[in-house]
Amino acid sequence: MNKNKEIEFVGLLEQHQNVLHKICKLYASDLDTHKDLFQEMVIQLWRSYPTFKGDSKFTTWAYRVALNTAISLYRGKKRKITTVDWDNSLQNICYEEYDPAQEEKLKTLYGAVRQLNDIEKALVYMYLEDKDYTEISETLGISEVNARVKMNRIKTKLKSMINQNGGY
Amino acid sequence: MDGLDLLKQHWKDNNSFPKIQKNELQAMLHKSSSSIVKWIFTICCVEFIVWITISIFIPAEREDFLFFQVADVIYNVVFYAFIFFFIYQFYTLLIRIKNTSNTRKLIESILAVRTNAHNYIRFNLIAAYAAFGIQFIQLIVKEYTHRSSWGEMIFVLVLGSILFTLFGFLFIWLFKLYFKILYGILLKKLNSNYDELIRLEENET
Repeated sequence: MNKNKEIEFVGLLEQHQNVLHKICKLYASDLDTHKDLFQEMVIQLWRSYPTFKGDSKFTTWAYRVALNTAISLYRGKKRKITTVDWDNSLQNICYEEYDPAQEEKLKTLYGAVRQLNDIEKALVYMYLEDKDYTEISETLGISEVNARVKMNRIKTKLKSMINQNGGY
Repeated sequence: MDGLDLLKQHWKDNNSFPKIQKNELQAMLHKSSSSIVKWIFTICCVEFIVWITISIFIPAEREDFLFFQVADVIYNVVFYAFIFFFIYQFYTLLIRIKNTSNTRKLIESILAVRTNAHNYIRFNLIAAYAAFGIQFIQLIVKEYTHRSSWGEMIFVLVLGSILFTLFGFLFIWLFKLYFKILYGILLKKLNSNYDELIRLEENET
């Protein structure tokens, strides 16, 4: 692939890197895994970049490849380095108006989402990104009805997980 | 407001991630992947090389009987035709793996390569077992033509049958152990995600 393509890709990726970060946030429990998964996503995206025609949005194309990487291709962290708790390191700077109660709620929610399996996390990600059920079903390769039913079950599951842990 | 809706409220505004610079991203492009596909590719290549090497370097005995000479030739032709078929199949399945497919298709395409590897090893073990069987028949025929005593013949027959059966069980055990350990560990996550997708479809339909 020529240098221009590389520059173009890196430019797009730099601009839209939060798509990958957000997926990593759901799938990685610490910063090292986040970095490692992020890197694998970048490699996978670069490999399939020739198939990106530009007629779809870069973010739509990128999130599908990134989700596939997290669910099907990523093997796990290659090496164990001293880990930093993801929520503590980043959650504090998420909101301009810092609210400790709100932060605690979000931390509990993220904790519960991370306990879901990989497929459920993918559904949650697409739900949070406001993807419609047609897109969700196409991305995962399941029927639209099943995607909808599963999403409702996840909501119930999350509620019970949070209640089991003493609520917010 | 349920949990997810609360999360959603903040999700889109969450831009607090460490910004990775262009030069760092560029460096990442050229790093080596550690994906499951790369591992499967490497393992399959090793499997192909190991079995072909074994088949080339095992010394072949020159047979006295025309029948066994012909059987050897047929065996070799069939053996290498299958090896060629498996390599071709491996290549075509490998290029079908696309990270832009939907998740279910992607997992299925990876598992198809695994199944091909599974069949390749199974074929090699069956071929080795068949070769062992042919050797055993040849030994009996030799004993018979050398006019060995009945005692010797029965001894060879009983010992050969016991070894033949034991090797059969050993091959089956090795085959199961190999796949359980190697591919079982490697594809644990992939298998459970695929099961989840299938369960999801089965539960509702």
